[in-house]
Amino acid sequence: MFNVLITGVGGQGVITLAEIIATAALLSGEDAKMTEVHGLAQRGGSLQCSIKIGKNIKSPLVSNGEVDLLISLEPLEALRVLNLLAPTATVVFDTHKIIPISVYSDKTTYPAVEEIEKTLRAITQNIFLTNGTDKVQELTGNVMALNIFMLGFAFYKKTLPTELTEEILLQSIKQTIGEKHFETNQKIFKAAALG
Amino acid sequence: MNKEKILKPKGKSFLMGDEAIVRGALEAGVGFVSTYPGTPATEIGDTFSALAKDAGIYFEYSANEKIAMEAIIGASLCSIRGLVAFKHFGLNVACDSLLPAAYIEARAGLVIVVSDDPSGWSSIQSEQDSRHFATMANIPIIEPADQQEAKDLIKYAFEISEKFKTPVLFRITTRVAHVSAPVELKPFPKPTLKGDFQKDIKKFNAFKPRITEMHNQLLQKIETLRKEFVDSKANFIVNNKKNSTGIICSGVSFLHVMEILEKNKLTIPVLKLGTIYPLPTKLIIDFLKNKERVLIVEELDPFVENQVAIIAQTNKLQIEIFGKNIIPQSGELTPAIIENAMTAAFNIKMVARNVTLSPSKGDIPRRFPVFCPGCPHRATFYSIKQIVPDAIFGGDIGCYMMGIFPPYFTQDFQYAMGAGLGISHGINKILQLNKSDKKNIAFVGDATFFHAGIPALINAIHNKANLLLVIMDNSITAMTGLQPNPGTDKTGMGEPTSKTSIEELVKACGANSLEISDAYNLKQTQAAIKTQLEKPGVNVLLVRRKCALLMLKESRQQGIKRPTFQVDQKECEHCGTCYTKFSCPAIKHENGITEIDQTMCVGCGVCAQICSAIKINKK
Repeated sequence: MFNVLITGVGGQGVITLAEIIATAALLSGEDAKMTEVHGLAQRGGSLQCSIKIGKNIKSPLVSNGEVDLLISLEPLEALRVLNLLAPTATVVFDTHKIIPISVYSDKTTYPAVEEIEKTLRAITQNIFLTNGTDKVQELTGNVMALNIFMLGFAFYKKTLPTELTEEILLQSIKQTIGEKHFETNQKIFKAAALG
Repeated sequence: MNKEKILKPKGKSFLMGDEAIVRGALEAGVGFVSTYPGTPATEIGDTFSALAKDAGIYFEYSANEKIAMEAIIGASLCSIRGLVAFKHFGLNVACDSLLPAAYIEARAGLVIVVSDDPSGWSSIQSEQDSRHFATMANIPIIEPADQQEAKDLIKYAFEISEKFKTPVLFRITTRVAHVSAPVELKPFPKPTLKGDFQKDIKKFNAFKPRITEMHNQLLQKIETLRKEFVDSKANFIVNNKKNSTGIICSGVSFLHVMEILEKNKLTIPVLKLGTIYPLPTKLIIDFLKNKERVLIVEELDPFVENQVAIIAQTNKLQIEIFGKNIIPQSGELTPAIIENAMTAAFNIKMVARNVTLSPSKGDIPRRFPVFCPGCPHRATFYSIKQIVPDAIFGGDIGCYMMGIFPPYFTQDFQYAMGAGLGISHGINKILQLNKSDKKNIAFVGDATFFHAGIPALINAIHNKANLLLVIMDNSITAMTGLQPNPGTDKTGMGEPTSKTSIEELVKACGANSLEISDAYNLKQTQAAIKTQLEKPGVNVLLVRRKCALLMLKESRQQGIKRPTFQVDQKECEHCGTCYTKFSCPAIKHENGITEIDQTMCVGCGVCAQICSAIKINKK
């Protein structure tokens, strides 16, 4: 069993990314179960979505300490799920901060990205970070495809199960999002090879 | 929406529970589907909406759940199979018409899908367990555990409905509705909408003395179903062997239990129930016999547990029953919770779980759901707070419910659809009797106004309230993902229809006055609030501006590039109004600098009305 957790802010494409990974798992001959762990799909709240990949999957829920790979589309959101990470987990996250408006009313501080990385290192050394948001904005003029970039980044850093090949992932992107935007999505996926 | 994965003739598809229900209904030959959107059941309606035309069935978003229920009753009276879907609170609204539907035998299958939401992931009102409605209505409940069963058992629900001429409650929870898994498909028939209403006045009315006669028939039916379910394919036993302990479970709890058993290499017999009302007495007795201890695992109330306890007692079975004495009755169940209960009930040791760090919650800034960049509701609440920060704000159900969060605090209470106005009216009557000069403002959105707001408005007017109703019309049902409603010009099947005019309705209800403003125009809205608050009686302010998500979607479709705004750093006086009082998530303040995130700004320009240092980005 390989458990993936996608976290981010509602509206960033967390669920779509989870769907692409689950569909790729099926294309590779595995089974998969996917569910939102927490949050609303839109409207800027914290959002977490899990995918269990393997055979004979029973419970759809990932328990504490069972996540093998965390892909976080936003740095702070990686911190919220430390309890779910396995001691051997890999963490991939985007460094572009989306500051929650609560910091102004609660008078809390959004930690520096270096701090976030340091906290994660207490659990695992397998950490990869990138500024995908800026790169996607540069490539397409908006940030809608950040989820595709992060998938490419996770793939090129070899953090995904080996059955999920580049070909299978691209096929899954085409199947999940559709032919219409496939060329752009393929370009973004491949651009992530450069980090 | 990928329709193909649901409409393909056979094979396997990766489906969410809600989508599997749609496929199952198609395989069962459903003809007529209605709904009112509510998560976690929203995707059932949205999926039908996307494919109804291709599938050749009829689908509608009804104005509320009671009407949705009535619509499928009408279809079934014309011999067309009907399915209605809503979240738990939706069933509360529909109940008025569901209960008589159990008495009056329909001419085609009637399946009511209700999705409960333990832990309230998508619900604020209560952690209601909807199964209790079935005992009150005397109708059977079928409950699937996973997505394959969600599809297969919908067909079974239609079979039971037609065989016994009864509505069937098909109950799911969040972890069935919102879990996706591979589902094996079967071919589905070409649906038929060929039907007619044949009069039978005696049959379709429950006048005395028929009412007691029909009630007795209904009770008899439940006893027949109890026997029918003994051999139901929805119920089965895993690890069927002689054992002193056993587990009875239903819904997603079955999957958690199986995961624990397999992980710990345990072979405790498990009775998995898919028909949970009425319980198949003989099956339960056979399972309990010769056991010393049994654990009942179910989310929320002890619904199965109480029925099992009655069966055990009336049949004088000496068995210790564990359930809600060691499993929480509130919140969603997880494998870890169930594992603890199994350890306690059966005194067994389990494989240790990974020890992990817990995030220190206090250190991580909260991220609650917020109004999207460009949301008209933010602008309206900002305007209200400028004029009457201390009014009593009646809250309601819709995106504007996020007004409970800082810095707005414009939802002093939230109960149910349309209740903001109804409760404000009650408060206002007490204020009037106490000669208080506090201001009452109730908020309602366009869909909620059509759903349950109109009777509340008529009541407030008739009973002489003094209050302001603010109708926040964003011209779509936004919270659940942009569904049409009677105020939009398209039906759930994408056909053009006439828009219902909110202003004409307000006038016809007899409101003292009506003002209309554009939420994006702060001056206009604030002036209108002032004017309306000075008038006696029930006055209405209709604040109108399209939902920002819908606006962005349309802009993208039409290839329109939205402008963005930015802060002129030379002019910024660091007062903080934009990020502490207006609080658009695109406006960020870090290290003493206030900026607008250019990847998030949608160019509504409202912040530029608050501060002259915010200007359009000409790049």
